[in-house]
Amino acid sequence: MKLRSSYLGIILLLPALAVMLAFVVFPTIWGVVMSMTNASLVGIGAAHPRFIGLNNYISLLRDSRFYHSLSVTVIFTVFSALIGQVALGLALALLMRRKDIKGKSVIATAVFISWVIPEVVAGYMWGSYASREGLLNLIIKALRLDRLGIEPTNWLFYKPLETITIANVWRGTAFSMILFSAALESIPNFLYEASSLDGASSWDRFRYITLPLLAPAILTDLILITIWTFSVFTMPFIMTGGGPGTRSELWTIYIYRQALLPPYEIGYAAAAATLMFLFTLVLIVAYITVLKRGWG
Amino acid sequence: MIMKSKSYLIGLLLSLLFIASSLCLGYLYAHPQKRVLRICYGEPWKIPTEDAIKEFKAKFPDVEVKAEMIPYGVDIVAKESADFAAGVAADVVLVDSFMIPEYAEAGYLAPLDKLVAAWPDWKYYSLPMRRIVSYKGHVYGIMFDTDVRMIWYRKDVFKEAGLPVPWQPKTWDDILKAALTIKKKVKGIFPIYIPAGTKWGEATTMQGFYMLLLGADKPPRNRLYDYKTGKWIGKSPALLRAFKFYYDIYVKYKLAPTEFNFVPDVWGTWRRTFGPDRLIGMALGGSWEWGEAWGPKGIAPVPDRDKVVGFAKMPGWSGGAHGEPKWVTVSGGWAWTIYSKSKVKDLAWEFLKIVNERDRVAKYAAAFGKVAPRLDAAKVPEYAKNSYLMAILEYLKFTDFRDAMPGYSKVSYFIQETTEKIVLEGMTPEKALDYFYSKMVKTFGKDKVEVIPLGS
Repeated sequence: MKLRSSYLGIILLLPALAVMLAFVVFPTIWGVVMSMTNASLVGIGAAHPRFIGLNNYISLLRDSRFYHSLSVTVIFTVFSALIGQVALGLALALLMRRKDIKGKSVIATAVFISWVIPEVVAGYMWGSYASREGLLNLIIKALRLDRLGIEPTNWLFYKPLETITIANVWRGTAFSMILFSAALESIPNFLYEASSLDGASSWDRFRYITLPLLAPAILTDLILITIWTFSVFTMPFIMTGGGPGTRSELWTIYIYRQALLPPYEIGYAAAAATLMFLFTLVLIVAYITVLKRGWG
Repeated sequence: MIMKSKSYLIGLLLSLLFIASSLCLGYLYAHPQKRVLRICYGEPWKIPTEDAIKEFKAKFPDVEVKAEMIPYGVDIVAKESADFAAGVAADVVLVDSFMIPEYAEAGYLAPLDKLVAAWPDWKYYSLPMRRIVSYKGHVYGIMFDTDVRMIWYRKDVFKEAGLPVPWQPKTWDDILKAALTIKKKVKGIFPIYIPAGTKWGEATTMQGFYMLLLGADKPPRNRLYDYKTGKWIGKSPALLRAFKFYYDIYVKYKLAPTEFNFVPDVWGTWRRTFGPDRLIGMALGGSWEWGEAWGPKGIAPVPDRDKVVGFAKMPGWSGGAHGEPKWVTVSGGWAWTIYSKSKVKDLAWEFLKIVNERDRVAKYAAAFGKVAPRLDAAKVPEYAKNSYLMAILEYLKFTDFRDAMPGYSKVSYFIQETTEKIVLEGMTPEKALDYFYSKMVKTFGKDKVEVIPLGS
């Protein structure tokens, strides 16, 4: 009887499986295959691509621009995902639970809108907002922030990495907030009541009750956010295009530029993408190992 | 037990039905019953193309026409290249002519030799216009428009700086002196702007670099490719001179707006800041800007354009005194092509004949300030009456073309990267030349890259 129902389950899953195979598994394998050729978008490399083994990988590992994009991506991910979205998402989720905060719906709406606006639109919005004549500079001037050393400037030109990081935090925090809100709901109230009877401060409550019980949610959030932030492309591409020069060139933008701008080298870009895939895989395994051990 | 095996069967049937119907619909979508003609073009050519589509539909009512317009803001070359490479390009594609050699080499374009030989209009296309669309002796496209490049300048800014209007510099020194005068006399303005960097893409190479390179030395030393030896030129006095000009205006004298080369929308910013915002004194730009950017129906219209916007010929570095060309301009343009894998090549050719009709080409050129590639365009009154087009007709006498040999897009990219290093990092002209040379050698190999000794 058990065997029969699992057969049924598999059969019903077939369409979804077919889609996964066609659009996820096959392209990944095909990408790895292409990474070992000199396939190109135009020219001879397009008509007659040749197998060149691991040459692309060797060139990649010798390319300083590749390492530069790696470091930009790591900085971007650490600040945007870890420090920004997870911490901010948690803080907002905690904030939303308090009964004495006015304007909660305004905050919630603002957070959600940033999430649902299409990325291209959001990118151009930030392009306008952070420009020399944009709203951000007007605010800075109005609040006289130059007293704190913040001068109005062309943010996308002089501080490209900082600006795309903040824009990404702005965009992605909603997800963490929702995840943590749900997780917080599941913490039974009597634990807090009992602890306050024992004289625990709100910081103690956070540290000894909330945080440990949230550990699985934090782990999940970290993994998901890291993977997503590692593959962020659209908004930063529109805002700075990886520039000026390569100052804000994320891994994804580096790959795009190798493939779709001269030199149009698809094989090389596929090699970079494969390395990115492996790197992300290693990260996830590391996460799960370290955090599982830590939280027991 | 019977119930369970029934649901097992139903489940199996449903899944297979779902997969089968998806495959069927997919097949039908890819192989429609009616004949379909897909046409891909960029937004700047929207008006004449849609006009031609109407005429085509009237002539061939049984054909379904799919107009695939690439909007402003999207990199047309990247999109079309990706479509070709993925095998999903439209039947008819309007391409930037410099890509024709590389597209042809990749086998993306259908040769049109037999078709143009039987087309009576082909005789109105001059030799240069035929050369641009040819590769290894075969014709792969029909030029729809062409253009020239010049120095655009603001007459009001020049008057304020006490410079003569109309203005026609004879040497690069004249240009530099005028820019320095503007810097001293007119505040809040960037005296000069030349596109630089990779964000501008091919525009850096065409509107910026080639305009300098072609006037930087005696031919044929003033090019990127040596047609006698079949090699790319990676180091030359001309290249050094051109890089030096970038260095002078961006780094040494700080006359040009570095930032404008890196904004999200480089085209829009350039057109606005030269036009309505009046933030630039003079710039190297294309002839289409007159209508497409600052005209009454343009993207950034300038109210008193005729009074305020002037243009001058770009001189050779010493005005021809050292054997270089006296005047410099370079032409490009866009061409209609047929996808090699198209299943409706006959319909595609019919469309090409319609869209390239003399009156359509001439009227479009007149309206947008483009140069018509057909010699008989002058017979069309709108074109002949256009005083701007008549004024730039003389530019066609000394125009030149880029060295669009296969591999050109990479060379162009290295030029863009090198100018980017100069304006962003202040790289000196000598170091910039070495940087460019090293990239060329790395890509093409030392034996395919020529050096013209400096000081020769």
